[in-house]
Amino acid sequence: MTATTTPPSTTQEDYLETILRLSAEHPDGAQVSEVAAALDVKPPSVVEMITRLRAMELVTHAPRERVQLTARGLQAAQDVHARHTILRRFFADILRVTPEIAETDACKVEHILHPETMARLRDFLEHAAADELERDHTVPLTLLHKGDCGVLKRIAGGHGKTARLAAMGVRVGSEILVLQNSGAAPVMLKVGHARVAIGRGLATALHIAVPEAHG
Amino acid sequence: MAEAPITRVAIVGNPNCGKTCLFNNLTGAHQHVGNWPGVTVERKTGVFRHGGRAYEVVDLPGTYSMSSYSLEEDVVERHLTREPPDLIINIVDSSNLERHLFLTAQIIELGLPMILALNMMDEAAQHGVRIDTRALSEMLGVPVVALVARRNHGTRELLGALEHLARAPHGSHVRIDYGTSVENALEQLIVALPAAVTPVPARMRAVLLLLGRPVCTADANLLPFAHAHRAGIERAARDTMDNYLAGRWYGFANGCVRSCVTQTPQLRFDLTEKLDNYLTHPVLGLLIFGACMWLVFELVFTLSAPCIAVIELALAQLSALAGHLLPAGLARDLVVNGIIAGVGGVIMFLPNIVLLFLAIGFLEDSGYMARAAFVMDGIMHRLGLHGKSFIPMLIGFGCTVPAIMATRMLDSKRDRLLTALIVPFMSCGARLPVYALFIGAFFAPRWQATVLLSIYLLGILIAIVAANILGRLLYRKDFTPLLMELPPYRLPTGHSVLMLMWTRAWMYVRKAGTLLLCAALVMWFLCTFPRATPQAGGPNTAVAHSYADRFGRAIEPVLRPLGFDWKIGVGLTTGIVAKEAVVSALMIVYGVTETGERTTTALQQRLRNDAAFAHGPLTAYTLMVFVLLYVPCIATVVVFLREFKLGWTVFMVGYTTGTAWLVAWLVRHVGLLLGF
Repeated sequence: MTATTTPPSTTQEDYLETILRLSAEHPDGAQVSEVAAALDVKPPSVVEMITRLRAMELVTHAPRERVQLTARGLQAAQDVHARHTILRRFFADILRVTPEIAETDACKVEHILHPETMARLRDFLEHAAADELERDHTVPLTLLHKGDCGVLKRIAGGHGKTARLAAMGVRVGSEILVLQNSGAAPVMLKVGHARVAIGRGLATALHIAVPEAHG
Repeated sequence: MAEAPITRVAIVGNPNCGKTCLFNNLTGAHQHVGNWPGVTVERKTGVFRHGGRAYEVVDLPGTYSMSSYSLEEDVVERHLTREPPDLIINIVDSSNLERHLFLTAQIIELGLPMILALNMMDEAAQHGVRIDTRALSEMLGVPVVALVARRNHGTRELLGALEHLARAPHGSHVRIDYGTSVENALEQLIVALPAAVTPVPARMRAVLLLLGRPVCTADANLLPFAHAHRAGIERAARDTMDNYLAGRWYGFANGCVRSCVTQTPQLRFDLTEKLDNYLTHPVLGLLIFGACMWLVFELVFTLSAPCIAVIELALAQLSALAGHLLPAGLARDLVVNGIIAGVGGVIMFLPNIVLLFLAIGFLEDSGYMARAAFVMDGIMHRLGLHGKSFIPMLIGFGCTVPAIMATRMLDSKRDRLLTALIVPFMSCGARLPVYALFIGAFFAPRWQATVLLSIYLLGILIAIVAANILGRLLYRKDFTPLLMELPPYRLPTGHSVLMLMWTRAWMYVRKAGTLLLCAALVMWFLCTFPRATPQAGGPNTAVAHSYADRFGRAIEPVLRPLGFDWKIGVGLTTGIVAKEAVVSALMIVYGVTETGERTTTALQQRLRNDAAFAHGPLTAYTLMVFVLLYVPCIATVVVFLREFKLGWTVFMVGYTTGTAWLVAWLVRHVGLLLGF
């Protein structure tokens, strides 16, 4: 971190982040006009800010050349980018706002949160990701055998059939017992006290978490 | 005291939860109880009186939810919102309460006076399920009554609750909590809704608007507004409105179950599970299914033989009696050759049809029909059909008309059309008389059953080929996966199976009494006029110059390559009116009844002696193949037209007849090559 000098301001962080992003597309760095377009500001303002950043030893820039991040600039930019990613994921995946809202809000909030808060958020998301992995520890219904039981964790591929399945008692969280599964015949399940036959195509979309014993 | 107005009651519930049974208990009208999903597509009503009040009950189709995935669900929603009943009986399966309360959650906000009927309390007890009815009643805000509809237990309590509620009608106070975002949207929609255009409560109208299903045209104007709300909610919830609300309804159902139901684990013998191990086994299941079908046909034909003999004898006596009573001339000719021969030819095969319907009813009520659809789905799927398509096809063996109506249970339009197009190839009961006639005339008794079975199998084979070709031609994408409940096996109650048999057989007789009598009379007319001058010679002379003769000869060139002469041409033409009419037409064309012998035997004798049947068995077989495949009867065409469009109906008539000609031609020429 920039321990010896004052940390970059909100606007400066935005600049660093943008240069980082543009640098990913061109190894020699970003052009002033590109930065201006990306941030929706006039080129003279960009030149002014670049001069200030160069004074802080965050970027290198010669006239009519591309702007490049210094080692310290890169670290600062990556730091901002990491915060941005964490916040965007938190807004989009946990709070479930739309990707657009998540993006704009992350842009605003990334500069102002206390490092402690950010660290906690990062831990939280890591935990959530582990859950996500656990959630993916499922098998399609068609791979289960007669007599296997498990819990329906998700229905892949669109929402078209979810409500229909729900009306017949097959929903996320339902405990199911496989009564028949062989050949080209549909899969027969027991859900609650009802028996339901599900065509193979649809059955592949049902992801079931099975207890460890089954492997 | 003034007569109280009729209270209109609607019975609502999932398929196979005893709705029709309760309906029968209430009205005393003995109707059919189905055991596979979708049997009650039609609306049934009945009337009864209790405590000085008259009730009109409508038995709504079984439905899992109020939505528009299938015609049944659509029917239920339309009935409850467009012409709301005064009172709802929501019948549920107590042994699977949570899923059944899902539907309750959807209809409770209709605000209609409602009774929750907990059916199958006996089965629930066996499953270790105990329900606190008082607590449930409090949670739902409606009276709750425990029932065992199959044994007619609890009907009196239900009637009591019904009377009580009819005197002081009030709906439930329960409001389902849909969460802040939906509640906000509902609030804004309710304000915008036009007032007093429908009896449905504003909140329910708003919910249905959010789902894109306005209850009336005035509400439909608000659809864009509702859609904007819906889009916002769906984006935030990252789920469709349907799914989001389904989650809320389940939440409500789950809440009820948690606080009112105690479940004790039970170790018990599950007969359905044990039976399913065999009956739905991938290999064994198919074998058992085949054996079942064979048994059904064996039963139908063996048991009916003595009845047919008796009817035949009675008809011969009747003809003889009429011959004695009426003076020789046009009147006697009309009665003996027109009416008695025409209708007699149909009635004679009633035993076959009655037994077939009995067998199908047993399969339906026992729960086996759904298993048949299950074991056949793998095969049907490969043909581009749906496992459920098999059920209309199976019904097609009885009669094509209800089979085409049964295609309604299929969810997608493509599956419906495709199934309806191949159903006519399933050999219906009305074609049986024709087979029986020709098989009896040309095949040795020990081969008869095999020949008959081969005709049925040929029909299935042609249907498979047609499904494959048509399936490729029809839009392929609109294929809905199989999703079907398999009801537990239940021993069919005698009267429900007999009632089903009776209603269906009665339908057949009514058809015979009207349409077929007309056909017979028209045929008699065509065969008698213009009247030929009486000449010495065989009975054929009466027909020699008739219209039938002319028509038969006119189409003879088309039929000649198949080895048929004009007499068969006349028979086949009549068969368009109804397939069984082929027999009565042939009787008239061959002038059988005048002699007063036992009619079918006499006709068979004439056929054997006819020069046209030089290659007897082969020509007979070719004819049976043609009868199997060509234009289904006029009633089928009419029903088809009602279900689908004119274009498809014309196509259906054309392609079935084309197929019939082609296959019959092949059969004849391959047969000749093989030296038959």
